[in-house]
Amino acid sequence: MIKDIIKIGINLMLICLVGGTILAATNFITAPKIEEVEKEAKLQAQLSVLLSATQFKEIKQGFFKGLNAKGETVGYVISCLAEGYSGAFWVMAGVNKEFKIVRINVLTNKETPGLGSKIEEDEFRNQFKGKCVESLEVVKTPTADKIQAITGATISSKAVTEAVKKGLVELKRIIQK
Amino acid sequence: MLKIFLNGIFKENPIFRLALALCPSLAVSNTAFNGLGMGLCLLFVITSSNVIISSVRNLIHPKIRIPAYLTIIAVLVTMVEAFLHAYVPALHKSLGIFIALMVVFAIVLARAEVFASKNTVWKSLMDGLGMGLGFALAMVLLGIIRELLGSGSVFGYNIMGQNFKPILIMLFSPGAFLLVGLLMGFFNWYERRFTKNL
Repeated sequence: MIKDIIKIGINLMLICLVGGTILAATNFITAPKIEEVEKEAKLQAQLSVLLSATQFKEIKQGFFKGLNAKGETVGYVISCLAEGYSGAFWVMAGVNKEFKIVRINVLTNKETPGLGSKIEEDEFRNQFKGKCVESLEVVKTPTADKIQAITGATISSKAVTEAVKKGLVELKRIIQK
Repeated sequence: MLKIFLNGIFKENPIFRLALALCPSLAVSNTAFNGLGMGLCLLFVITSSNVIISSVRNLIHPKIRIPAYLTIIAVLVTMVEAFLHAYVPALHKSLGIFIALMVVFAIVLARAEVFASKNTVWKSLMDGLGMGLGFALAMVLLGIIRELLGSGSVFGYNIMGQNFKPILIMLFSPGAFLLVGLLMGFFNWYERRFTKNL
């Protein structure tokens, strides 16, 4: 009985030992490459909302300062968590030095295809261009200085707008402190 | 040997015959590219797990064979995930959680238990290749049909033209479920007709 347990234990331990060693070797080879890939993906996402910058510096978790080639601050990038209709998703917003929005980008989300998923489209996203905190409010009628909700997807539209607004208010607080 | 290889592709196709890999076939066959990617990953995992398990089958205590098999499969899958993440990030992103979920795909463990633990290395290699290829072909077939009907393209190339109105349901799991059922029925019907003529 005891002998059996020890035998089984050693058997399983040996398998795990070999497996663990192989995984350690795999990690040793791939880890630096993975980090590089992730860094590149992050940079591309930041660049997509703040084209004038060439590099980014983290000020605080989720808040980045965009610098140009000369090292001058050209704006900020914030990643904001939005509470959507079917779960949370990330929105990235590029902001210029006057705290006006340059561009926003909606990352992977599970909003209803054909309705809520329209928050990813240019028609909705372009409304944010040039807006400041005060204009970030969702209305249901055509508007020039506010954000018009997508028909049938008010919750998703509000989620994006609220998230960006919250991020922008927080950014202002951090910078002006 | 050839018979073992072909067995996995036709007679015991993992998706259409054994119905043992339905979870990935519903979830990641929405485009032909994803289907192919998943298929190739599984081809690698099932072939290597079959070879490794059959070569160490006499060293593993029978009482702990299942945890032992799972450990071996998990190591292989983790390796695949790390390498995909590092060298094919696009595929890693679109397959998402389903790469890690390969550990619990019924087909891999089933072949380890049913075949690799009782057969020689060479036979297990053939079985793994056949099963993996059968799975990959089925995934690509599903991917092509779903992408064609759901977005009007195949491997990202537009085929149906501008006026095509996509059948959205084909992009979701219910559409895939319907399609798997229809294809399964078609293959059954085809085989029955074929054997009757003999």
